[in-house]
Amino acid sequence: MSVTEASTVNKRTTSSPTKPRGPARRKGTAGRANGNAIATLSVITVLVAWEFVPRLLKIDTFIFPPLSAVLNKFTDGATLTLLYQHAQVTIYEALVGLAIGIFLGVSVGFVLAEWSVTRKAVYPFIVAFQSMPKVALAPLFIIWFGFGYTPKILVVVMLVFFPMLVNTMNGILSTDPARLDLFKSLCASRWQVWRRLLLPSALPSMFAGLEVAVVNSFIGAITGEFVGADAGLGVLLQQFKNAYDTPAVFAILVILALVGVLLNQSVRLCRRRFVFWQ
Amino acid sequence: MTERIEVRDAEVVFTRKGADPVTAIHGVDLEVEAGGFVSIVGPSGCGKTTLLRAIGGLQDLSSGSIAVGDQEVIGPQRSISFMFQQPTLLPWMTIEQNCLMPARLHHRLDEQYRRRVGALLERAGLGTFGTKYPKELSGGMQQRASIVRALGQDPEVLLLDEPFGALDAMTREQMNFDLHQMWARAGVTTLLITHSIPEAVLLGERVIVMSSRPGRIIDDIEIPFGRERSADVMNDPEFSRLTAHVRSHFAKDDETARVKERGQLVRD
Ligand SMILES: Nc1ncnc2c1ncn2[C@@H]1O[C@H](COP(=O)(O)OP(=O)(O)O)[C@@H](O)[C@H]1O
Ligand SMILES: [Mg+2]
Repeated sequence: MSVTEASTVNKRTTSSPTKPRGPARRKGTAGRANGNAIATLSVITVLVAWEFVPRLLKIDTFIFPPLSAVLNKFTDGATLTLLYQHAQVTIYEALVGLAIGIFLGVSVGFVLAEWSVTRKAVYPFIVAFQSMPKVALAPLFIIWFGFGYTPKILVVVMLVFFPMLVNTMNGILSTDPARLDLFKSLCASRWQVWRRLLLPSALPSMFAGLEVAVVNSFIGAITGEFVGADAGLGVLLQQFKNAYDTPAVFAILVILALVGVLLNQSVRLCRRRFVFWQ
Repeated sequence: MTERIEVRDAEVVFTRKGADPVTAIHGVDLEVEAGGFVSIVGPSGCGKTTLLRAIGGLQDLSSGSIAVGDQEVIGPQRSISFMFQQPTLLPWMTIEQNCLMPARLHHRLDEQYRRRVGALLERAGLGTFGTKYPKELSGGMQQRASIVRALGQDPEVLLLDEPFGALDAMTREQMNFDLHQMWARAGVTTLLITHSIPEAVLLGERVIVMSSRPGRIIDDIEIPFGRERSADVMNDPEFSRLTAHVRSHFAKDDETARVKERGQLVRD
């Protein structure tokens, strides 16, 4: 049985009236609706304040533009085209880097979890890299690969790879020993142990890593563009800054925030689907 | 189809770097007849789990030998089924999927196996819970599901390591009789480790008492209540006499343990 299969079955049962043991982790429908209302209200309040507080306090638009000035940027055809083109570049770099980083991180995580010799050999390097600010590698990547996509994607890969690697490895290594004993007593093959025990056990931790990785992917792309690029939101940010166009700078921040929220919500959705038992 | 168990002069020593070797069990001789039910009691840390794991092939012996049927135990065997202290159900599988998992792993999931597990679930009062996930069940129900998983394999030997320790008294008594009936029907050779002396006497055809570490067998008591037992057994004066007899070992053992501990403190 695969995890996906199981989750479809789950849809029927999660809403069953049987009370789960222990403190209920998920709120009831009423509680959730209430939470949504509070969140909506708070967002509206902040947006209204964003519009009126700068005006009331007579803050210069150059320092902190009101919401309407920022939104106007999205109605202006030329700016909109710029935003669109450069956002495409940044999103491309982030997503490609994310995909490669996830693939590599998960693969290496599996290998290190399975073979303790490789784990012991590689561990010092992981610790060294973990404690190093990896964006500092960006200039080096520019030297090696020029101003195109490659160095930015590489920075993203670096920032995605490590959280995925560490969380995959730790997730597998922290599998409940009692369950490992169970599989051992059932004479399960190594492949069966992986497929039916280690992988599902590691999923929650892998998703925790993925949440970090998604945020990191955009940090990586923007930083890479800051260091040296001819396209991307990082470049556009600097251009707008040089033109003292603060509302346009805010417009980019709004885009980045929206994309971030979108990706984060997708990850949470996937997590709920694949790790339905938590 | 059931198998006898024969343990000969078994010893397990745990060696760890930077720590003194620990002799968990020493010179253990034990025979369990095919289809028998033997309870094992002993102070905690005396090596009961170690002995059971060794019989199940999960723990290598340092010396001695163990045979199940006419085969020497050198590793886990499909004919031996374990039930652990925790239910160890997999949270991403339904109760039914959990109970069918051994068959899936052994590539022998057929209609007959499904029917047997279905019947066992029914017997365990879990008939309507097959499609539920473990977290939707109480601790007692989870533990019953894990009994079903163990028995569903139709094992020749059933090894139970304090399976009811975490349950409340009422559920525990219920489970005792469930286990007894399942055993009486299936006739599987069963070893039960328990902390509860009444449980040991109620269920076992024999009760084995182990000493504190290094674990040795210090008593082996026949329990003459036959194969069909009901709650009435506990009202039998013989029952109190037997529990008192088993308990007498622990009173002594506790004292020696305390004296030892005190000696330890003085030395440290
Ligand atoms: N894997 C192990 N490594 C080292 N010591 C162990 C290990 N497993 C058990 N022991 C030691 O062996 C002794 C017996 O343990 P165990 O068989 O679990 O006792 P019981 O089940 O009777 O409580 C204990 O002192 C325990 O600390
Ligand atoms: Mg134990």
